[in-house]
Amino acid sequence: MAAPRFPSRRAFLGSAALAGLSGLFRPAVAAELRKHQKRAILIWMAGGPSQFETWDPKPGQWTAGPHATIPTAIPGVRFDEYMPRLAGLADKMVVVRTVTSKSQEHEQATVTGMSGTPPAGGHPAPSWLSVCAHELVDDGHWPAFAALGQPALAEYRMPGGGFLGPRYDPLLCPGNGNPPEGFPTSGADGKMVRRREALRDRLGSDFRFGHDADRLAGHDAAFGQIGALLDRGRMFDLSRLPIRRAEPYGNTPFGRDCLLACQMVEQGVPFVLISTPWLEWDLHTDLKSNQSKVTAKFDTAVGALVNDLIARGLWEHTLVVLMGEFGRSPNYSGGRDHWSKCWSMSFGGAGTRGGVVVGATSDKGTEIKERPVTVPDLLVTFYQALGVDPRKEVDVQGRPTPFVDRGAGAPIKEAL
Amino acid sequence: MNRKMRLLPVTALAFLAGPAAADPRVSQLIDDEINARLRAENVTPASRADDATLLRRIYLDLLGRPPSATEAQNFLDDVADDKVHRLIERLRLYPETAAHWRRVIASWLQVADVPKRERGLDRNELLDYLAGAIAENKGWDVVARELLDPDSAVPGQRKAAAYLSHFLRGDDKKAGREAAAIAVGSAFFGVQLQCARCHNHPTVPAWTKAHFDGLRAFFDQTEVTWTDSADTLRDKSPEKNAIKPMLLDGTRFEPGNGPRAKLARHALTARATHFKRAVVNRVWNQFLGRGLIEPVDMIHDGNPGSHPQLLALLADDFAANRFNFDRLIASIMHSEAYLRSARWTGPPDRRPAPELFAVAQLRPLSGPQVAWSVVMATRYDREIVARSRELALPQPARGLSLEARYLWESTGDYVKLADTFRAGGSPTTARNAAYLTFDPFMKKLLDPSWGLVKELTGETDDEAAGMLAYLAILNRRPNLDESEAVRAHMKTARDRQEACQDLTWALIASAEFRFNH
Repeated sequence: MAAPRFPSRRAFLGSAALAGLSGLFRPAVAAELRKHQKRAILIWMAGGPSQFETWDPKPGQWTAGPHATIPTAIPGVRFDEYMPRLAGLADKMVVVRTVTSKSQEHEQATVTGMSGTPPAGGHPAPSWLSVCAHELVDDGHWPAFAALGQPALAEYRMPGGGFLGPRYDPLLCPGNGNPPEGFPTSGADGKMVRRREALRDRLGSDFRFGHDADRLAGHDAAFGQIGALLDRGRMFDLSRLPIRRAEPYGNTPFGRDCLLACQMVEQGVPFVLISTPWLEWDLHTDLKSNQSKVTAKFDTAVGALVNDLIARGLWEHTLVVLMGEFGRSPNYSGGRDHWSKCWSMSFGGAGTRGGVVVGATSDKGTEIKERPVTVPDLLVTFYQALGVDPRKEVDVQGRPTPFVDRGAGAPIKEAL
Repeated sequence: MNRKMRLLPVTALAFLAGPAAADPRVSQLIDDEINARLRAENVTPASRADDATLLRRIYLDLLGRPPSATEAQNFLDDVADDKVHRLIERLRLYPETAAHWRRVIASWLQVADVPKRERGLDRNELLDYLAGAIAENKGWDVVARELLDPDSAVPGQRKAAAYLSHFLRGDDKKAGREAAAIAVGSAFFGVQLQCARCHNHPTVPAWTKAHFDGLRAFFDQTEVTWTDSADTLRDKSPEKNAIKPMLLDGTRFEPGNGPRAKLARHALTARATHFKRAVVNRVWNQFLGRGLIEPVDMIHDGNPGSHPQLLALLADDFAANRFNFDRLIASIMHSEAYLRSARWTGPPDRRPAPELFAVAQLRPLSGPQVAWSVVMATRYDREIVARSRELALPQPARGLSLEARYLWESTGDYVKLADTFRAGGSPTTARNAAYLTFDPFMKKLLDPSWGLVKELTGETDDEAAGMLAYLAILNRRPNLDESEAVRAHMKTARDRQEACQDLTWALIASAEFRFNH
């Protein structure tokens, strides 16, 4: 079943819209999008969160760390003590306690976690959010995918459009709730953009003669899409929002990114990646002093985001995924090392079931007791929840290329 | 039709005494083969592109950057008939070619041409190795052997190990070996084996899972170790029941005893058809915007391509001349097929199919080419050269120094710009447009306090300002209509500075700038 696409929008140039940058994105259109469009927010817990200090604590075992645990909205299920909001929302989300993967290196595991495939040259696999942008959003609409957070993430070969092309790369926002670097915010900037665009169009006329029109069409259309983005530029202005809406997210850069993500999925950027500060969860030695702060900040912002999505009627259409590249080792010695054998993640929204705990680890959390889940399993599940056919193959230079490796991945049925 | 015109350049070439100068017979061979098919299809090709277009094309193709306004002016003022051919010969000898071509070859090798992690590192080993190999004009067979089986004891090969380690250093060993096999298959043999990873290839019966496994097996024993602050490759003993390494032609080897050396010895030879055709096809694609076989890494019996005989002849000639890269490049560049216009002046519905090479293709600039084009257009190159002087780096008599180029290419500004414009899919993405419209570095380049915008603002004559802007940014003079449009814009503008910024931006954001045409 195909999910509805964003309605097609005319290119900015050549339409009546050239006369003014405002008013293109009408509230009526927004209401239409709100009803049908599937969206997703992936919150990347960069560095690899400890399952023992989040969703799969093992109190009383030798593997337990320094934290206590608290009950959740699911009877008998306990989370880390610094996750009160997510504990309260547990009946609305799925927790997977038995993800298993192969790489324990940040870069390789990040690429695999976001794309389902280890890093490769040539035509690398796209981020699953790029796939969604490709499948669920009309070509004329841009951006369909944005990445918020530390620019350092980009240096670690974060997957983007991959074999789908740079067109499906995310629009990068530098973090702390900020718009893309240099994004024009004043009316004068908008006027300047319009003036320059008119001159560009005028001076480009001679080159059009005799040159391959198909190639040139894409060039002009790309500039047209900037007009459409400027038109929606108000979504970046968090200062306009009432305090009572912003405050629950917490006064942190990550919290502001979560608020911006909520704005974006509501106002026309349906797929958003938020990265927590680079390697923030990578606590090899200083877990005791830092983990509580990292987790509490995360819980505050993500809890607020989920509540905000619910309040705005978006939860049923928005998949929220919380995960990092791997988990952390059972051996606690002031910190924990990388661990890919069994780790935890969570997701919810977009019609997935609430209150489900998938899989179980052994009493000490050293291994999987039942129901291992792979990254391709997760991707297939996300795709199904969003109405993307996970078995679809696209043509990449004459080669039929699947979104998920053939034969890999099965949906987590108990979550759908 | 071109026979008479051709006499001049060929004669001119006879006077050139550079090392490994082009062989006019090979250029002739190219034109004979291409023209034979055009005659058979009754197609009249586009005429030769104008001087300004060829100037920019040749600079971009050899040096990866456009000419400066001065370089453009000098060339356009030159009245010699053979100036295009002389330009090719002159630029081929610029050390700058290594700066550009190392990235071209890196992209063939399926390693990002602008590694994101380059930023912050002083050097990137693989790019360093390739630059050295290009500067020495090492044969392609030597380059391939050194990349696949480097001898780390030899200083010139030490950094070549960075190629395979790029794939193999991760801790998911199986994934790494598969990635290496896929990249090596595509880069050196022109085959896409990724589909055969799990099962036989769906569209090419000749490529089976056994081929993929066999190619991968050459890397099954490879270990990456960190020795003397560099990645080094070592072969460990084969495991029991290890898969036997196998060449694409079905030749099998016993595991053990340097499988990569066996791959190099048997598959990188003048007789190995795939090896020589794959690279010739890539080079052709680089200059003509389309391979003789498409896709460039789908070379197999069922896909003979547009000019099978030309590819075979070029490949044999290339191999017979010790895989001399420089000679191959020059031979292609001196052909009329390369020098044709990208404009089709006939009826649009009669535009010849691209595989006829009757009209030049619009080729989107690569990310690195865009980065350097923006730099040259705004005169930021002068800032870079000034900085390189401060650092007492060598200053060449002509062109930019390699050191100056590397100086800027190691900055975050460069990496971000080049990565934003990386190739693939649609030539211009909205992200490209967004970059040009509001990225802070772009704003800095348009700042009126220095560079081109300052020069334009200081020019009181509107026509002269238009001329300056066109020469600096598009490397040509404006036509009458364009001069008039520039004048009109200047006149209506409230603020001259603003008008000059607008003009600079509008030309940089033009399709003409985005493409090598």
